[in-house]
Order: sequence, then C-alpha cells, then structure tokens
Amino acid sequence: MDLKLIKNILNLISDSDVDEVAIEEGDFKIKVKKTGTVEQITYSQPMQAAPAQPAAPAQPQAPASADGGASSESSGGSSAKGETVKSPIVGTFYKAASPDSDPFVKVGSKISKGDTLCIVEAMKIMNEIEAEFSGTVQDILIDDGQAVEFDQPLFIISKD
Amino acid sequence: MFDNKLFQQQLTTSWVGHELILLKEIDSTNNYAKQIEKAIPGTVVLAEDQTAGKGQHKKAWTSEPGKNLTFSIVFTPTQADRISLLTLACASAIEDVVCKYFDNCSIDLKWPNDVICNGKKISGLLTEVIHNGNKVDRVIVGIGLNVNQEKFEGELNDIATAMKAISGKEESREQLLCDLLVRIEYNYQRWVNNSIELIKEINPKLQGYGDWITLEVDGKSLSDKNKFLGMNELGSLQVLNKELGVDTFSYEQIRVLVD
Repeated sequence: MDLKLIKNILNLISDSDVDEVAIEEGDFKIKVKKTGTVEQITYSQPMQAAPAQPAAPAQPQAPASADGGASSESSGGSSAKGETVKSPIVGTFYKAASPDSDPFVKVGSKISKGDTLCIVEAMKIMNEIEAEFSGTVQDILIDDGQAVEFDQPLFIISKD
Repeated sequence: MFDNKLFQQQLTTSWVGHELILLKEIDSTNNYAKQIEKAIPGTVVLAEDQTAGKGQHKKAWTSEPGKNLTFSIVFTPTQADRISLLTLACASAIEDVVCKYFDNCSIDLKWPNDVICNGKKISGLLTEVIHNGNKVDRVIVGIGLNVNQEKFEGELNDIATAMKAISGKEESREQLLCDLLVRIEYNYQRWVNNSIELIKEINPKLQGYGDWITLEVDGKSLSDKNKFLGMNELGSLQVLNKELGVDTFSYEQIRVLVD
C-alpha cells in the first residue's frame, strides 16, 4: 500500500467539497469519509457512493464495484464473520434506550431472535431493530449517536 | 376506573380498539404494547396510571391516575416510510375530536408530535417502529390526552392543559376514546392509501404553517428565517429558504420555533 498516495488522496478530499469517496484500482481499494475514518472497503453504500461519482464520470467500473461490494455482505474486510445487520432507515444510531441505560447488546453478547439490537431515531420516531435470528454479536460497526444511512451495516452477528 | 364494558358497547370502529388491554399501572403503554407477541392489529393498551410515560426529548409525561387517557395503538403497516405522517395523522384526529367538545378554542398541531390548545399542550404522541431486519413488524403510536385533570403541578401548569381545564366539564373517557379511535382509524386508512387529502388537512393545522419561522436543525438555530411549508407526501418537512429554494428535511432533529 502506497502511503504517499493515501496522503495525497486525503489532502485532495480535504480541500474539496466531497464528503466521502470510494476508489478502486486493481487490488487497491480505499474509502475515505470526511468525518475522519479511513478504512479498507468492507462494504459500500450506494446512496452515499453516488455523490462521489462526478469525480470520475468516465469510469464505468466505479458503480459496478459499488454494487459488487453491496452484495458481498458477510465477506467484507471486518475480521468478524457472520451475517450483516443493516439499517432499514436513515437516522441517528443509539446503542441504548436512554443515555443512562445499558446498551442493548455488546460485542460477544448472545442474542435471541426478536431481541432489540439498537434504536435508529429519525424525526422523533424511535425505530427499534430486532434480531432476525439467534446468535452472537461479533462486531458493532458504528458508534453511539452517529448518523446512519439507509442500508448501512450496523452489526455483524454469527448465527448459532 | 375506566369501564371496558361501556367502552365496548359504544365502540363503532371496524377494527381499531376491538382488542383492549386495560392496565391499572404500567411504566409505559408503548413498552407494554411492544412486547405483545403477534398483537392483533388495532390492539389498544390503556393504562390508568402510566409511571414512566415517554415524551419528546425523553421528557416525562406526567398524568394524574384515572383522570386522563394514556394509551398505545398497535398498527401493522407493510411499509416503513412516511411514519412521521402517521404520527401527525393521529394528532390531527385528536384535534378534530377535541374540537367537537368545545364551542370555541384555538387548537393546533406542533410539529412533529404535540397537540396545543389555547397555547398549552393538551396531548402528546410518541411513535415507535419495530423492524425485523429490513421489514416493519409493527408500529406503536403512544398517545397521552389530558381529559379530566384540573390542576398541573409546578412548571407544568404553564405549559399543560386538559379538556376539563378549558370547558369545566367532566368528560366520559369511554365515549371520548371511542370518538378518538373512530377518527384515528379513518386517518390511518387514508395514510395507508397515500391520501393527499390527509396531508392537505394536516398542513394548515401545523403551528407556523406558511409563516417565516426559525428552524432548529440538530440543536442549532438557523440564522435565516424559512417559510414553513409543512409536510410533503413522503412525510418530510419542507421549508422555503430566503433564496426561494425548497429545503427538505427527512431525518434531522428539527424544531420549528414559532415567534
């Protein structure tokens, strides 16, 4: 991995109006968000990837790879293995019912079908996401209080 | 005590409220309703005393036991969108019914989930949606309506009111709940059918509709005033900015500050 290249990409994006960009060239994949995260692509967010496309309008590979990323749910770059639970709506992610209560689940938590995993709040409407199957929480992919997009991966859960 | 038998005799809905769960005391009727396994659509959970009623910004909604209506309705829509519109469809139904009990009073809706009468809050709603994966499993609309409570303690006295505080009359909560459910059922059906008439009915009831108002987005007041255009057909809030462009908000934390 070329660190200089990454640095150049970061500077370029920092000076632009683009909030997020995903670049793929051969085996090299990178996704940069202005909120401060730099990560290897583990998934893609079609809703968010779209604004980045004007930067490379002549490359049909870009949208194609985005679709490919979205469909490979559980084989992403996170070391955790399991099924990905995605957000059904846009909103703010909460790990717990209220700031002073325990989180619904933690990494390593055993969960049963129907257990509440998190709340996504949008316009004062509380959206509770329930587990579709029993298993163990392998990874939580987002921090408390962060904005989530539609279809954004939230958890990786291994089935029992 | 709420008379379930009398309520059932007077109920004229097609399905909402046919199953009524009456509780003496509960933390929150929404919490109870959420936990009913395979609840029949239209199930109503009503509590005489709600000890931890939830409101906007997680504020507690306090209510004198046995005097008011604190209840939750279970809906099972197939779509997850436009839920904010469903909350206001129910709020609009409450306004319609409460209006009929008074000769003259000023009553309107405060976006996104309150009913205001003569400048004070008479009713508040909290909607919770349970998703099973990407599918909506059930939607719980929690409603608190102040009915026969005469006094509110401390600061609440300045911001809360009740039907009896306005009319001086004691109301039958059983008849009132029947009236509310009839109108809510009607509005729910219109919501399911994507009725434009429903939105046209709600928007003029919203405080600040058509006025230049201050908008607070994610805790920050915008310096420029915006003209409040109400809700669009997707349940998003729309404003006209000072450049005469339309801004749409779908998920941000918004407060509409009416001068």
